[in-house]
Amino acid sequence: MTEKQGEYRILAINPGSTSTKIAVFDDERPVLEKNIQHSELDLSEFDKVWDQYEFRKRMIVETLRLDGIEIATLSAVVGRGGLLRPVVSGTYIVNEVMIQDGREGVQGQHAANLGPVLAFGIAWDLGVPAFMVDPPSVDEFEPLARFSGHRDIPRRSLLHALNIKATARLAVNDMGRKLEDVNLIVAHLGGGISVVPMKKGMMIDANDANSGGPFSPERAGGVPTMGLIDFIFDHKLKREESKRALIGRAGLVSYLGTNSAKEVEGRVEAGDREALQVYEAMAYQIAKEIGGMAAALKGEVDAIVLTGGLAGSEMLANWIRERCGFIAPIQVYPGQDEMKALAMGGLRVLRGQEQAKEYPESVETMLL
Amino acid sequence: MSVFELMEKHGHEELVFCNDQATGLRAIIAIHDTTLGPALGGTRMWSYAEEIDAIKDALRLSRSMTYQTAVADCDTGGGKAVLWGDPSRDKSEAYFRAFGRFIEGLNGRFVTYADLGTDERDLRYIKRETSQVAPFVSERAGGSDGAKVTAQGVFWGMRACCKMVFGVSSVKDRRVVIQGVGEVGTHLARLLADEGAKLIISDIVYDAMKRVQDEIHDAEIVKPDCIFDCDCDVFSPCALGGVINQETFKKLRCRIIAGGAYDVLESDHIGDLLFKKGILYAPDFVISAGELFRNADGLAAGTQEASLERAEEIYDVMVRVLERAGRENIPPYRAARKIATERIENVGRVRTILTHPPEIGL
Repeated sequence: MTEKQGEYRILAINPGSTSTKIAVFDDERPVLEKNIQHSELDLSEFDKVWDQYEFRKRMIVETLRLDGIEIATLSAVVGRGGLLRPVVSGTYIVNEVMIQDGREGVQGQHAANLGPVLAFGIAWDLGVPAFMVDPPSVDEFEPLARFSGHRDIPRRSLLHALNIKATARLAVNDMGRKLEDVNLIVAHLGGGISVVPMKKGMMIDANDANSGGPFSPERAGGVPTMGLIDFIFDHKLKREESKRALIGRAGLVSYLGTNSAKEVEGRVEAGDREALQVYEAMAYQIAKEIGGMAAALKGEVDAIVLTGGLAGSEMLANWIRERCGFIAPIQVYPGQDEMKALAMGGLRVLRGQEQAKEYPESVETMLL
Repeated sequence: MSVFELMEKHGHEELVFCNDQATGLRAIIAIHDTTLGPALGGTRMWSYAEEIDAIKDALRLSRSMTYQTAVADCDTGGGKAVLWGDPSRDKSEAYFRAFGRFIEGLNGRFVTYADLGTDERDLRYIKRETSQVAPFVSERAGGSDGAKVTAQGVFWGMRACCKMVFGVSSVKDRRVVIQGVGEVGTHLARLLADEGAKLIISDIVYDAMKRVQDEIHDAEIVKPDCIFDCDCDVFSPCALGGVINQETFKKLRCRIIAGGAYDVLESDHIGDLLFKKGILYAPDFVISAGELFRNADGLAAGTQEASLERAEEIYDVMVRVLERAGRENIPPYRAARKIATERIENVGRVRTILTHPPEIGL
């Protein structure tokens, strides 16, 4: 058995479509991280994602047991949030409304909808609290950010909230300041790219990585609308085919045939001029997006924060620094650790550093 | 108190100790009363701490069966078998076959079925050595299970209580708290939801509640330690026994207690306190008689479908009990015991009438 080495032991759960990631932290210290794979055969017996609850729960409990984690030693369980109602960011107590929204799939069915109910189920049996942290449905947009240019096509808040918020916390900590006292622009540079102006902790705008902003390794980002319409009609694409063309087969994949930034950098270093131009164009678009978001913050920006897998690229960071360094200092936090972000959200509440929110808390209810 | 004193206290007829060293079988069969017919009772397997705990459990439960069978108008008596062992460790084919032979030795005085800690597979081994086993679910038409029949009985018993307290038997819009959503609790929840009751459920295991909520989306859940504080019309204990005690009694905010759990009251005294407080307590041995119908009817080769229908009769049984309690201004559990005792006395007396005179040699 792994002895608890801290005041609090937290289990974090992040369900994906074919696996369930779990991690255990004793306070800030990671003691276990596992990615439990689920075979197609295992999942094929369930009609709905929601019905996989007991199967996944059993796998989690069994994995903990086999890895010597006594489940009774847990202080709390944190689940990744799913496609829930639009809410402000933060740590939420898992409640029945949240579970019901996950069951109904208010914004769609996704394995992540199981995050809160898995946390709740395990926590209930142990008599400890269950939390959800910064779900993808976080929406703190200011009213002006919702306009797109067409009444029937509103802009929506869809962003990498968990990593963006966790990295912002790291950045302000390094600055020796508090989140609620500073303005940041956080760029999550991953398979998709989100650039978020964060005004005193609130994510007031963002590009939807699937339909706007810079192109990324395999997504198109924002493309000329007329050209897009012609492209779809010329190729006689159906809805799902159109989506696949823009998400998965676009970006670096479209120009260079690979989604690997490492491979592209290798080609650049080997003198491939096309690779150089495309890669720099991606940095150029990221920089433009950051510049636009600086305007959203009226130029009052305390720092620009780069995070995600691509933030580890010196080449990319330097290009962005060249074009945006005039706005504010740039801080770089490569990679992302969603499991830690989940666990730390729970830890802050257990330590009394943050008050857990009651779901659903939207921007509107906050203003009341 | 000696074993004989314990038996004399509540009028038990017979207590049988069975021992088979080779299989580790240590069983106790308690037969409380066979006036109405062979003693019917489940076979329970449990790791009792002490031998005396097993004896007391067998005596208490067999007596409860006598009341249940009598008040429910069945021609069976009250019995119970307890196997002193660990269900997860001590079971074997030989173990249950040995037990079956001890039952067979009672020449039809005791008939059994599966209970806590035993299942149909165990009973199949017993049945290879004795015919004194109630038919299994799979052997009956309809194929529905015992929990469904029990829940059906609890539902109709609850309706009778509502009629008495609120003037209408429907549970529509009544707030019903179900403590424990195992098989009986879940079936009961379905029946109540179908009729429009507002459900609040609780269980120590979340998965059980999730299964109910996946079917009945507006069923609320509460933590087990908060269940007694719920403001409701009906509190329905469907889990452990002894849940209404001196401590929980004070918290209750309901008008009716009606559920599928056995031995809900910690003591008779609590039943008297509930009566004084104006809370109608549906006696457990009356409202849980659905399972008895299933097994008693099984003896008479009745079908499971018929058992489900017959469970509805608990409504009439409960009305009789409640009307008697009202007339005599006594708690319903006392009225039910009176009705049972009177029936046993009356039928017992009738059976003294000679029907097959012995040949008299002249």
